[in-house]
Parts: sequence; C-alpha cells; structure tokens
Amino acid sequence: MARKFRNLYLTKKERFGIYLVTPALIVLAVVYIYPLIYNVDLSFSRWDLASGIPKQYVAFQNYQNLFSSETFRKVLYNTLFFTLVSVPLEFVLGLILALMLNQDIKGKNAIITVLSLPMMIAPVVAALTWKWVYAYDYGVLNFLLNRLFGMEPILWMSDKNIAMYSVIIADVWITTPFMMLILYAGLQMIPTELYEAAKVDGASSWQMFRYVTLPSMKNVLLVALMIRTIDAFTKLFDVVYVITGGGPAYATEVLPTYAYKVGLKFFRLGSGAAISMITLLVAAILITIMLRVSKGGRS
Amino acid sequence: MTNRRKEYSFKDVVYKVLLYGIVCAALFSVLFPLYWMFSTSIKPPQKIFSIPPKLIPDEISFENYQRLFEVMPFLRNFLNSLIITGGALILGLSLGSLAAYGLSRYPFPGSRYFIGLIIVSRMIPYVAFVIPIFLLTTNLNLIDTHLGVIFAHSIFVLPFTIWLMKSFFDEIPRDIEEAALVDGCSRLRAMLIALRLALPGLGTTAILTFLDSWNEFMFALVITRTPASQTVPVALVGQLERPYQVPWGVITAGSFLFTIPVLALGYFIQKYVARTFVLGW
Repeated sequence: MARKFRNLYLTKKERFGIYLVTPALIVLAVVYIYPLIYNVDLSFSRWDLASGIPKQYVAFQNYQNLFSSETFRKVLYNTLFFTLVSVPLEFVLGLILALMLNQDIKGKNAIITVLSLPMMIAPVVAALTWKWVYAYDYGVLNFLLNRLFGMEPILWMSDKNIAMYSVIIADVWITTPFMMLILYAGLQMIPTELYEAAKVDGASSWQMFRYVTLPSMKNVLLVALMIRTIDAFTKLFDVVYVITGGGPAYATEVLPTYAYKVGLKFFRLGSGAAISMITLLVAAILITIMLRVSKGGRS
Repeated sequence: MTNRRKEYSFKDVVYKVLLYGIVCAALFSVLFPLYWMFSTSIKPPQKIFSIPPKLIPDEISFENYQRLFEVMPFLRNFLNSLIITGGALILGLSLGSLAAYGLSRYPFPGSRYFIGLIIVSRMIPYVAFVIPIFLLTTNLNLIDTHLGVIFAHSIFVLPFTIWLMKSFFDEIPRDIEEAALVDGCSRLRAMLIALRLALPGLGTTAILTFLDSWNEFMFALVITRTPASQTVPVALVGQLERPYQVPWGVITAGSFLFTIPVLALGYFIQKYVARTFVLGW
C-alpha cells in the first residue's frame, strides 16, 4: 500500500522532465488535441453558416446523410481509385530507380539530387507546373504528343474520363522520389556478404533479386507502401485543388478536398467535419495495420 | 596511365544501355516540367500564349519578373511566407527541443505514451483539423493574421521537431552531461551542453521544418484572406481565378522565385533526407 502511494510522488528528475515537456504540451493541447475533439463534436452537429441556422446536436445524421449521398460515394470511389493506381505505380517506379541507384553509375550524388527535386519543391508549385503543362492550346504535353506520335490534343483537365489520370500522373511525379530514397536506403542496408554468398552458389541476377534483395527488404517495402497508402488515401489536397478543383463534375474529388469544400466553401461545417472524421478513421485503421506489420517484421 | 581496353560482352552492353537509358528517362521526366516552367517565365509575355508553343524561347525577357511585382503584391507575399515560416520555426524548435530533451533524458510516468502519440500524429490527415482550426482562429480573432497560420503550422511542426530532436539527443552520449552534473552544474546548464552537441541535428531539423512550413498550402488557404497575410502559394493559386486570361508568365516567374530558397536548402540537406526518412522506422 505504502509503495503504491510512493508512486504518486514523482522524483525530482521526473518532475524536471515534466517541466520541459509542459510548454510544448500546452501548445499541442490548444492547436492539436482541442481541435481534434472539437471536430468529433462538430461531426455530430448540424451547423450551416450560410443559412444562419445555429449549431444543434444531430447524432449520426451527418454520417447517415453522407453514406446515402451519391456524391460522397463517388468521392470515396475516387479516393480508392487514386490510391490503388498511384501507389503501385510510384512503388514500381521508385523500386526501379532505387535498384538503378544501387548500381555502379557515374555522378550518382548529382543524379539523386536532381531526382529528389519533385519532393522538395512545394506541391502547389509542382501542381501549377503540371497545370501549365496540361493546358489544352498552349500546353506543351499536347504539342509533344502531336509532334512525336501525331496524337489529337487531349482535354487533360476537363475530360471527366481523363482528369483523374492527369492528377495521378502529377502526384506520381511528386511522390516517386520518396519511394526511391526510402527503398534505396533499404537496399544499402543489405549486407554485401549475402550477395557474395549467393554469387559463390552461382545465383543469377534475377535469383539474387528474388531470394536476397526482396526478402531482406521486406520490412522496408511494407512500411514504404503503407506510408504512401495512408498519404494517398487521406492527404491528397494541393494537387487536386490546383489542377482540377475536384471537377469536372466531381470526377477528381477526393476525401480531403471534399471535406474542405463541404465544410468551408458550402459552410456545412458539421457535414464537412464528418467527412474529415471518416478520413481520419480510415487513416487510423491503416496506421494500426502498419504498426502491427512493422512490429511483426522487426521481431 | 596504362588503360587496357576492356572487352565488353554483349550482355554488358545491353546492361549498360538499359541502365543509362533508365537514368536518362528519369532525369528527363523530372527536369522537363521544371524546364518548361522556367522557360515560360523568361519568355516575353505576349509569346507565352503562342500556338504551337515554342520549346526553346527565341527571345529572353525578364518582363514577367517585373510584372510579378506589379500585378501581385509579391514582395508582401514573400515576406508573409518568411514571417510565418520563421515564426513556426522559432516556436517549434524552442518548445520542441525542450520537450525532446525532457523525453530523452528525464522520462516520467506516461512519457512513453506521449512519444507514441507524437509518432502517430505525423500520420494523421491534416484535413481533420481544418474546420476546427478555422473556427478557433476566427474566435481568437486570428483569421488573416500571421500568428493564426503559425499556430496552424505548429500542428505538424511541433510533433515533427520533438520526434526528430529526440532521436538526435538519444544519439549523444550522456557521460558529458553526467560529469557536468557531478561537478555541480545545474540541470539547465547540462541541457545547454547537450544542446550544443546536438546543433548539427538542430540545423537539419530547422531545414526540414522550414521546407514543410514554407511549402504548406491548405492551412494558409483557410486562414489567410488578404495580401496582409497571404503566403506565396496561396497568392499564386489565387492568380488562377483572374478573369480573361490566367497570367501564366507571372505565375511561373513567382513559382521560380519562391522555389530558390527550397533549392538552396535542399542542396544542403540532400544527404540527410534519406536518413531522416528511415530513422523513424
């Protein structure tokens, strides 16, 4: 009993640790924890700033409305489609580039610097650049495709069957360097003895890749894939906002842009909060899976 | 030098061609859009909208850069970006380093959960904050102010700083601080000693958070309203809504100027980036 009470008293060292953390904790409480809780509260409320109706509690009404709304289902489908196409694409490209960097090539550091550029520059700048490349009349992409392959000009951003692919191309351009760097770091951690041993045993390069590289990288590959899946599903905003604005006719609307649009353009705060809560929930599920997987791989 | 001529087998040649083919294709895909942005910015404004577009400008002009400061309050926007990023950096680095040091050296009951929270927080979608942060900044009268955006940027700057700085403090041996404590130094003094040793780490953290805050768009879009506080990304995207014709010359010129600090800093931390990404996992 006495011991249990002793635990309530902190040692001087522990108290010093708490003092050091307190200022950061106060700021986080205001800008992080409070807004998150407030967002949950909002998602159970109806509050339309545009029509001037005051905030009122409506339980799960917002969520029910969303799941019966055709637009929201389209947005969910778009987000899923974007994730399922862009993540494997950037993964394969990133892996090819990482394997290339792992070879004996000249000027490797300069190449890495140049190839990381899309990741460094502002997503907004990258998106503006692509928007200008995609332009119908003045755009360089239509011009090149016409000169090289004799193709008719394409409405990259306003054809509802094509716009999503334009968003995907721009996003893959931005995010592939992340894949490349993380996979390259993973490749470098594989001990060279493993390759030497495989060589002695007479393994072909494909066999070395299949039986040495892939198994040694399993954990890095999984974590890289999971990080990008979480990001693609829950954080795509700048590129869509700039290139298509979610259009045409919601063809490129995804969860984050839709939450912003409903909440702060149409000012249906409760409904917007509910969309962002659904996004958060998806992220939470994916994070849990990732922590399980990376922990399982480590032990 | 006695360079003997090497014998290349057919397989070696195919391998080399394939390897450098991939290198060239990758470099081209990365550089071409960037080249197109830059070359547009140095064309005379009336030649930007030529059909078909000119791949190589036949005449170089800096008129777009001049017009950038006339059409947009670009200097003001650039200053806003600097103030907001600087503020977020100072707030994040000071409070974040203190907290990181505390978590690294003086663990307390519950500090493990705090660390776990910090790691998870980096993966939480920021859109979950957008509406409440908008309401909060409105209520605190911080809408359209630098301080409002600085607070919003703390959402990602602070956890990131704590997480990164903790890993740097963890790498520094404790012996020096312990010796200083035995010699009668105060705990604060010992912390300053550790901080000095962690300076390279602090520099890396500062650059990475600078990039994050400098490039941020969504929170700045929600909180800023007028040129008084609009950052460069918000102002550039705002140009898309101009009637008649989108001023692509101005947008590309602004994009380039805005990217210069990024290129300079990116060059310095290039070798740390991969390490930082791997560090957390």
